[in-house]
Amino acid sequence: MKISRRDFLKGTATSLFLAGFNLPALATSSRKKNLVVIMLRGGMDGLCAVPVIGDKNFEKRRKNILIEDTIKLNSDFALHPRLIGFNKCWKENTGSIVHATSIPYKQRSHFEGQNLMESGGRVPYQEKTGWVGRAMKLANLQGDGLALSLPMPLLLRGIPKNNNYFPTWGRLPRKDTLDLLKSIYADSSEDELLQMMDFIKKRKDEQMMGGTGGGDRQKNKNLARQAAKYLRKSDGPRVAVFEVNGFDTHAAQGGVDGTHTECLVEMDEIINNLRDNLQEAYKDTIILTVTEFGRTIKQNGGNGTEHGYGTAIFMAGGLLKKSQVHTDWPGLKRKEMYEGRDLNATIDARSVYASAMSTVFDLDFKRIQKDVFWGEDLQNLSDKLFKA
Amino acid sequence: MSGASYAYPVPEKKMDKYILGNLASEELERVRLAIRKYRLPSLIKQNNPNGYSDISTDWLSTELIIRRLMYAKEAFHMYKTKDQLDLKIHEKIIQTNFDNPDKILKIVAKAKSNEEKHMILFNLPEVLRA
Repeated sequence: MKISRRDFLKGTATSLFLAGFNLPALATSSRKKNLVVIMLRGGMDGLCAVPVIGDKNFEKRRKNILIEDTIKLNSDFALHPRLIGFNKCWKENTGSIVHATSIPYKQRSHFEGQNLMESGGRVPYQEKTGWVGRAMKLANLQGDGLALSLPMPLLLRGIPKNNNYFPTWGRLPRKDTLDLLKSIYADSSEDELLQMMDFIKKRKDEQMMGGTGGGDRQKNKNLARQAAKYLRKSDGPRVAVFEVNGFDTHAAQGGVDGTHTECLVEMDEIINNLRDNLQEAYKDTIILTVTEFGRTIKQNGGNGTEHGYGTAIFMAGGLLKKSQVHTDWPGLKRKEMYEGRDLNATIDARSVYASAMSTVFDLDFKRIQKDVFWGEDLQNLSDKLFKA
Repeated sequence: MSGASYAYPVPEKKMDKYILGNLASEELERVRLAIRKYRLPSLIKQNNPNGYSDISTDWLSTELIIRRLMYAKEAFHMYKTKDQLDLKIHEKIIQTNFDNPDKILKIVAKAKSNEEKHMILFNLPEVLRA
């Protein structure tokens, strides 16, 4: 009997399935899932964004910068009233907060803190790669990272061929020039540069340069729209990284219209625009925030706050288990605070990040714990926070 | 490119007269403003307080290549007209600045115009990874 190539392949696939090879697992992992990380630089005040309800210690220490007209999330916590986009996610059961959390950094330097929030380590400047980059390498996601910033953030380093989008003014050179440069990179066996030229050529075709509105296109809310277009493509990136600056409000932090609020609104616009523009892909996405530290409970003489410790993580996306404030609340009495002045952190933020990456990258939590975070004592929160 | 034959947009004599601490004139600021326009690192404020990395694998990215291409194009038109029209100028620059001029000359010769040669020269792997 003559067997055709098609019959042979069909027969082989059936045999493999019956022999117990993990075809169902392959089917699961072929579903494209996205991770979006928003870096909040300067130290995000978790208690400005998600204040605790009815705590006299808190209200007394923040008389002039207390956020009014907050949105009640549950019996213990409220939401900043300007976080409209996140509130939509909360209402549709795709918005969560982890409170009283931090990376394991207890000093108060932005230099060191921002290095560690990206590297995921304990010793500043020791690591040359980021926790997202290392996990992507583990999941073999080469060429799947997209930074919405310039230059490439440390967070994504550790895997080659990441792309970034941060459009500038003007028009790209002629196609002939780009082709010539591409051929030069090909002749020099410069794989990484060659891939970049592919990205650039595609951008020219899609007319995605900044044009005269370059400044506007560099705004995070607009970058989020563009990132969503990329992320929802089946062959698009699986990881996107944003940066929001300016959370370091030592003076005039302000209340509901203050400078800290402006930064939170910028974060909220990213979440909102991703939610709206990811369309169907939103249900297969986790958006989460990272910051170097929180801020002091007590306001200072300039109606601002100083560098603190514990803070909050915002999360959104369809891969979240439900809307919740997940916390092991330490309390705000003097003896309960870190060094008598800061919100304590009872959850290592890296436990949240490792659990999220385990869900999105279909990697075993223990592998991430061992290979991305050097076997550190992290808690697997996947079942509590994310859908399997 | 030290020793290059391109005349800097601002004459050396004018640059020498600048007193440190004084407000720079628009003419002196021309190059800085062009670099700033494309948000090229090193002359714009870095968000991360640790500043910019010197290692090419850290900073090399799509957006940086785009900016280098666009800056090279704009910079070319800032040079003196006689330099822009000099068909031998890139040969002189390459002979002065590269250890392997023959290889670089062969590559750059593929470009059709002086402007294109300038863009290619500024984005060669040898220059990017210097």
